[in-house]
Amino acid sequence: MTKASLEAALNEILTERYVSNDPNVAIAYVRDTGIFEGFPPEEVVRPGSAEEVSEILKVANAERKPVVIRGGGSTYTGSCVPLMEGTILMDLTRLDDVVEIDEGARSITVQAGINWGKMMTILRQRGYTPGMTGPGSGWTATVGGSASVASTGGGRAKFGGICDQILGLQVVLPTGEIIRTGSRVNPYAKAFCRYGLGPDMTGLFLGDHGIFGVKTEVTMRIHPLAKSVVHFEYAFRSEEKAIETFAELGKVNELATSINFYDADYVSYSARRPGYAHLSGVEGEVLGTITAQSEKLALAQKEVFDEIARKHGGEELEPKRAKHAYENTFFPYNTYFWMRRDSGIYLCLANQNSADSLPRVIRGYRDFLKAHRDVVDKYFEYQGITVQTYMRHITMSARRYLPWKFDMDPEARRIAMDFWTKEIDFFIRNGAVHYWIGKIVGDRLYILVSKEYHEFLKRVKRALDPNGILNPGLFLL
Amino acid sequence: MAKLKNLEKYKEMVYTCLRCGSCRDLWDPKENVYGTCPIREHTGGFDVYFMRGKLMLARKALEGVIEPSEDMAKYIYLCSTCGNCEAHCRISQTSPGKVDREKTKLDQIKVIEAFRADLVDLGLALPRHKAFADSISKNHNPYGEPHDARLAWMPEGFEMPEGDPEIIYFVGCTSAYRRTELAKATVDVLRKAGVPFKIMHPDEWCCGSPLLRTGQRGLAEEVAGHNLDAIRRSGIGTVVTSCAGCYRTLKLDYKDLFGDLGFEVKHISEVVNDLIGEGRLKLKRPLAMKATYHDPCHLGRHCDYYDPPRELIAKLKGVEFVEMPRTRSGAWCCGSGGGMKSAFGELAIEIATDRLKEAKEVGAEYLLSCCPFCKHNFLDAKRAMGSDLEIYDLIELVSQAT
Repeated sequence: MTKASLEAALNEILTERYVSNDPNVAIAYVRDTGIFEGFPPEEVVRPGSAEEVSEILKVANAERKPVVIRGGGSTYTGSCVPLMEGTILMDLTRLDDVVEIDEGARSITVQAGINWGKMMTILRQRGYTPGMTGPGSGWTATVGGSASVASTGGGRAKFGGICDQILGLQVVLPTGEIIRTGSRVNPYAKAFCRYGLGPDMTGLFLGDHGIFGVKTEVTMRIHPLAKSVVHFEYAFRSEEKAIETFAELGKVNELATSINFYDADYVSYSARRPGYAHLSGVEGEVLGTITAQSEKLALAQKEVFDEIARKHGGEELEPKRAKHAYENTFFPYNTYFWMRRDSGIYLCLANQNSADSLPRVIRGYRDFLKAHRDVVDKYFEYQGITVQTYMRHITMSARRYLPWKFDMDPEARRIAMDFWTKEIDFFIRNGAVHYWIGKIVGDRLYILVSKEYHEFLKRVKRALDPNGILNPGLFLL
Repeated sequence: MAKLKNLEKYKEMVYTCLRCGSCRDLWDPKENVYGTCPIREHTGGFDVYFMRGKLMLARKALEGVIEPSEDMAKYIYLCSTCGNCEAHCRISQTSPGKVDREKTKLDQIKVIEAFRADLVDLGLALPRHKAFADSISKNHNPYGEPHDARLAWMPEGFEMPEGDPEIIYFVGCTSAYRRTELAKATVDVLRKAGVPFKIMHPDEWCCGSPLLRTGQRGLAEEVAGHNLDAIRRSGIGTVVTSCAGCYRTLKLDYKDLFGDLGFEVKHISEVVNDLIGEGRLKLKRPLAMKATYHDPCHLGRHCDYYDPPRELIAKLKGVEFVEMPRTRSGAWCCGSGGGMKSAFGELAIEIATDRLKEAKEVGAEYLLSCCPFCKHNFLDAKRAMGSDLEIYDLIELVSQAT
């Protein structure tokens, strides 16, 4: 099939409006939000239904054309950019409707390309919230994309990440078949759980970065909006005591929607900002939010936390920052991207965590930064660096953003990528489990993963995607 | 590689974009924003139709990876420069303290206009834009109308209040030739308030807005310079417009081009509020309507001018006011700005239908605005849809009520 006939076949499925091979269109898809740069796709398509996705995949299979799946493009690890020439890039953001809010089944079904901001707005108007209320990038990140990268975010302490919330999917398999997973496979059942069908096939597609299929619908658990919200913020004169508190609160994580830890550097950075002078001399903070269906319940839960914090010498502060974080469900991107080099480490706790190794990892990471001080100081001096350490038994990810002045310089980008790679290695070797993997983390991770596991992954991939068309190049596949 | 000298000046801004996509489809009830880019919503919606993609295109053009072309120009001109993306950009809202904020703060409209200026220099201006520039050059208006007829709308026997002119009424081309009811209503209100005013004819030329918005800077500076000289020569300290585009251009662009203006620029809604407050203008006749208000981009997002029209509406007796969900900084563009109406007329009307539907959904019978260009496009959309919504400029209601 020539380029012209491929274009004609895609036009036949989608109409010319939603198909383009214009280089001006393609060039916009060479990056996600990170510094990794891929190739311009040969074709860009924007399907509006699972059926259209299916037809496109059938054409791609017939032509052995690689297909790159993209949601909001909000990742930063190169998970949704073409890793080779000659690809079809499938932009799923036309699939952006709420399909159903089933109050009886306590679930919401959305098209995969809806962003969290839109879904949350509609859901809140109905008096509900999903447990995990979306990643920091949720203004623009899609729900399907978040499922593909196993994202986490607000509410994580109590509810876990998005994969813990998902009850079922509609997936277009690489060969074009449209399937459902979860209880709705039974045409008489509601979408309320993932099980009852033998093995949990939903999990196969969660965190898969789209290599096993194209998610077109996502069903998630919903909860009534909290009737009472209480914030807590404890200051410690010793970082170790703050970590001990953080770890102990983690054991009763079901009591709070968010539990965060700020290290000594982070607090010191905050103390230099207007309005935070009271943090001077504080070496660590633990803060977060408790939500409940009554004030009595919320206060009772907070009392449990207060007691733990007091035991470790914590002083209660006015919970300004905890309140701010809760009320700004999605962080403006810049609070991530523009954090200062010296802004320190913060940890966000998710359920079923273990904080035992935290002090060792934090110490190790500081040593690592010291060992690379020349690069850090030169390239990440002003802006663009963030060190976010998410913990989910333990989940960690370091993010590297270059400020504009270095992103313009290819040599600076090369040095930054090299440094970032070393940083990823550090975290992997210290037990970190990343949730955004993509090309950047995946290439490092799969060097270390057992050959047997990688072979197993390849076998599943071959079974589902015999021509290897979906998102080739990820996970060293 | 073609030299993109204007865009080069904004290179740092171009690279500041982290492609988060808030310019694509942001939903944030706190900011009254439900969707960000009208062009994206009414096209194939590829990234290049909204700001993230346009900035990526700018970056790659600056890097010489892709050459400017007619196709590239089409994508850069497919933008009404409404500023919704800029107003809600998650990067430009706050920048780090240590970095020069002004240097890296993303001003999407400036970047697009600079890019367009380069495209014009490279001979890639759109034919429809070149045509109105030719008309401005010959006739001092973009509509191909004779300059002599610029005041043809003036009511016969109009009696100017006595006294030295307190203000200049800068009529603007759209009110002078296409939506003359705005000009008539404006002079009627000023007459009723007893405000002596001056119209600069024959020295009032196009303000330059359509030229600046489409990157045709050379001629824009020429007409702006002419108007500025005429205003300064008059010695009058206040220029009043009934057009959002003229207001933005006189207030912001003239200042950018020439520095301190030496006179004030006011929108008629602000002036009317003052006249009512001072007791010079009486609201005698009650109206009977349920109305909503559309913030013109050039007034609202571009000039942060949201309250005076609403304060004025609140003063009008018999007007039940209702807001649309997408209001103030989240207002959905009418679709006609930034050269869209002339180059992509059907698309502009299609976008305007969104606003008419939104007005109907909140139960409004009247859709009010403060811009002849918005009104013009809304009327086209009304015809296209067969809508029964009444489309009025706020000054027309004031004229009826006084």
